[in-house]
Amino acid sequence: MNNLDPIPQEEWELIEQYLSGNLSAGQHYAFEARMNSDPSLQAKVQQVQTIAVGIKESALEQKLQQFHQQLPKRINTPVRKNHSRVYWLSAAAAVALLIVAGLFISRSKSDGEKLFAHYFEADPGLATTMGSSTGYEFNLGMIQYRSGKFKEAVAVWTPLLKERPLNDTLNYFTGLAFLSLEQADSAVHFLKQTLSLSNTSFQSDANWFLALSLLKQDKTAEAISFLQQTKHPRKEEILAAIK
Amino acid sequence: MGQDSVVPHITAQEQLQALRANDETALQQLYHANYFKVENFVVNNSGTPDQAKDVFQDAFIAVWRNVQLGKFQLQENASLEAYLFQVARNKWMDQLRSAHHTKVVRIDSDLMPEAKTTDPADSFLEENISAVKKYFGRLGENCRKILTLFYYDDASMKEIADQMNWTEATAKNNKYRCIQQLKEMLNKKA
Repeated sequence: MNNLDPIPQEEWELIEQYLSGNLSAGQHYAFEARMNSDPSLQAKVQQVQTIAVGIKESALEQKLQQFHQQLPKRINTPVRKNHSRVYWLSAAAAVALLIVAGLFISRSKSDGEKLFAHYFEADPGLATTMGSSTGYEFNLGMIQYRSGKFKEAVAVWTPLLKERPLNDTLNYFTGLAFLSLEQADSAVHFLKQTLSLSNTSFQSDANWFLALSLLKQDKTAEAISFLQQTKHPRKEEILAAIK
Repeated sequence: MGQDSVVPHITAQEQLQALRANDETALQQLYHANYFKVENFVVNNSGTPDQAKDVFQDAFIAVWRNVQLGKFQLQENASLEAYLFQVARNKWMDQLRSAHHTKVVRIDSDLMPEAKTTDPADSFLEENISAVKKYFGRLGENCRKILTLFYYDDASMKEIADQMNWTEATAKNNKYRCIQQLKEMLNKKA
């Protein structure tokens, strides 16, 4: 900061009052008129502002450390609304199918795939969430998804994703549909996409299913790193099983 | 949709005002509601949680500073959260890119026109603000205390005087004296 103009106390305080909006309308107007015709006053205002912001920032930096220490362990288990009995039943049917299929396949499979088969239970899906115009089509896909028609669900959602690539719900369920279709590569892609999006309430679940997808591909180390970020109730169990 | 699932307790305008006034609850809420998103993003893009913390805090301060300086106008439908995430993401991408630069393309690095993209006025302000922060840390404890109370906590001179057991006039004079000390250090360095 070069050559800080000296500012007498009274003027300093006046500038502060101006900056904090504490001058009366008349004073404020007069001050701005003066500033417009006097570049040195402009420079002084800038000086006061820079110093004030610097001091505030110093204090804020301390606060941020404090906020960081107070962070909750992990956030956001998604809040699911009103699954009716029908949804649960169809989801349970899908899960049962998958488990049976999993048991069949799991012979002669790698350890990662066995773990996947043992722990993977499809997310039952959502009742209705999207209120927008995209909502109708999204829900059509969700109906397919819930009845275990994952291919059909993907077919509905893929074009929607082109329009709304940053939608976390779409990315999450597309990833899960692929996972149910045993296409772990695509599942990984969409779940990672979900996790990169702001505000996602699928954080914990996306981490869980991403880890399962990676296990399926025998990428154990990477899977562990995502498992550590989930709040899934079987987290510790699977971590122990990996070891 | 993520945007639907987060129900703001206050309007965006109120949030902005609270931030301008350094309302502790609003600041903490903004921090807590957004940190893990950024951490996920950084960790999923070859970073560590420590790097995520640095990037997030830098972004937080940058956003806060723009709010303080009145540079941030809330667009319709835009949220402070989205802006914060975007700033953090850009910072992390820049960092990744520059890490690549130093490793891979050092030889012709001065031929890289995109290296300097920041507005010169902004970087001047940034330099000055970080100088203020540096020298502020070297002030005596009383100075730091009363300047923090005045500028950050928005305490009145009367409140400061009460806390320090001074008269209001003394408080005012002491505050001015502390500012002079800070300016002296800043001038010497120049």
